[in-house]
Amino acid sequence: MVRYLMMLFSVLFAHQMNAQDIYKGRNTLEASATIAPSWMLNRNESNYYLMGYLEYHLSERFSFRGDTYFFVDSDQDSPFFRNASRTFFGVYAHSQKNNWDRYIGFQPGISLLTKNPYSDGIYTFAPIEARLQVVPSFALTAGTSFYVWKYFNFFANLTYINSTLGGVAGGPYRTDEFVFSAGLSFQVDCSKKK
Amino acid sequence: MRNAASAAFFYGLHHKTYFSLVLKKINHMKFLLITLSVALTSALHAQPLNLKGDQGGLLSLGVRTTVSTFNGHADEGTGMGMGGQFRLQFANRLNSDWFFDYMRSNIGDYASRTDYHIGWSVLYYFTDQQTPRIKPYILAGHCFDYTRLVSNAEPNLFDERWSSAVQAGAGIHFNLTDRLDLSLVGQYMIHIGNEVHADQHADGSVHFHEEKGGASLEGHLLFNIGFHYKIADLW
Repeated sequence: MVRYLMMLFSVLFAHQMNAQDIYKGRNTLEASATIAPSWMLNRNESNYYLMGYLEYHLSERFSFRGDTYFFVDSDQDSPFFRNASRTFFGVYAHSQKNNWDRYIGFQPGISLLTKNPYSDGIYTFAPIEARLQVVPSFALTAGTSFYVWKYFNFFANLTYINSTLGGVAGGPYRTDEFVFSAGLSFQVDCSKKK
Repeated sequence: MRNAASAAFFYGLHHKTYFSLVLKKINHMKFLLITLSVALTSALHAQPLNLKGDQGGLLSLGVRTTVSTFNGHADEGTGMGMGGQFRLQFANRLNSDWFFDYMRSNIGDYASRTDYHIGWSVLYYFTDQQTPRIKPYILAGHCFDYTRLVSNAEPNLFDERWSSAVQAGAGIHFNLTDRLDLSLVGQYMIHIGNEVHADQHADGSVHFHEEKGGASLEGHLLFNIGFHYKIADLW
């Protein structure tokens, strides 16, 4: 009986999967914003970023994508960063099966980083200048999305960010991070209707 | 203890101010996202590439990451840069890159170096084919550059230099689609100008030295990885 039900369910499921619409393809534009935790690879510290992205799919296999991260806070009483924002733009390669998409991406970018002069538990009234540094960076991302409807999808990404904060006293500091982001993303089909 | 509490209090205040700035930035981001979306959908609409004649006139836009190995002085480390460029093709075998790069590197733990490059290179292809899977080339060109060395401990202590440079190397386009390519380039750049470098003396003080005359032909090896998208065929 169970075997019969399983076979019936499999047939119905396969039929349903074949009949479903594909919600992502050429000329799909998608965007999202979410809270993204990170792990600094050279320090025992986690940060929280507000991140957003905008992605335009050139085809099923390739897309342009821009990501921006704004530092919100860290798990330390005295975080390493005072301010941090990171912006990347690059190309993603996709492997899509029906509405399930898996992808990797490479993005050159810039990080605007200001080290907290009072990090590492150093409290002083000495006028330590916190200088903003413009740091060339790049990001490597692997992730997956599942398109559940023509207007939204669920995604999860893991991003490696490479950067070195130089030009500050006591530096240079490696500021590489793994950032995890997940959530709901919105998409529209921008194909010109004939 | 009192100092610690006060510093923490001021830090907290600053952090709240920063958070309000973040919210303002989000509004800007919304505006930018909408503007960019409209621009993307109208201008970037993915279409097959139809040439008007030969490959001359193809215009591409791209971004790139640069790794710079400064090997002139012992303390100068590997630099990381990012930049952008447009590419204008003259003929089937002749292309040109017009680039801007911003690079940062560290000099020991006592100074940092920033380089700005703006220039052009001429690319020569070994094939007439428009988009073979792999398209190797050699390149040579010229650029103007600005270099700034700054002490880590004392930001008002710096040296700078304007100069020009020549570069030559080789690269490969990996054509991902008719319009999109991934390019890898290796090139050697020689600066024609005064040579600058930083030293840390035994007492810990940082000194910058500039050798006039350009006799040293200071150079560095650059590696680029970048993506380019052909946006138009101009002629």
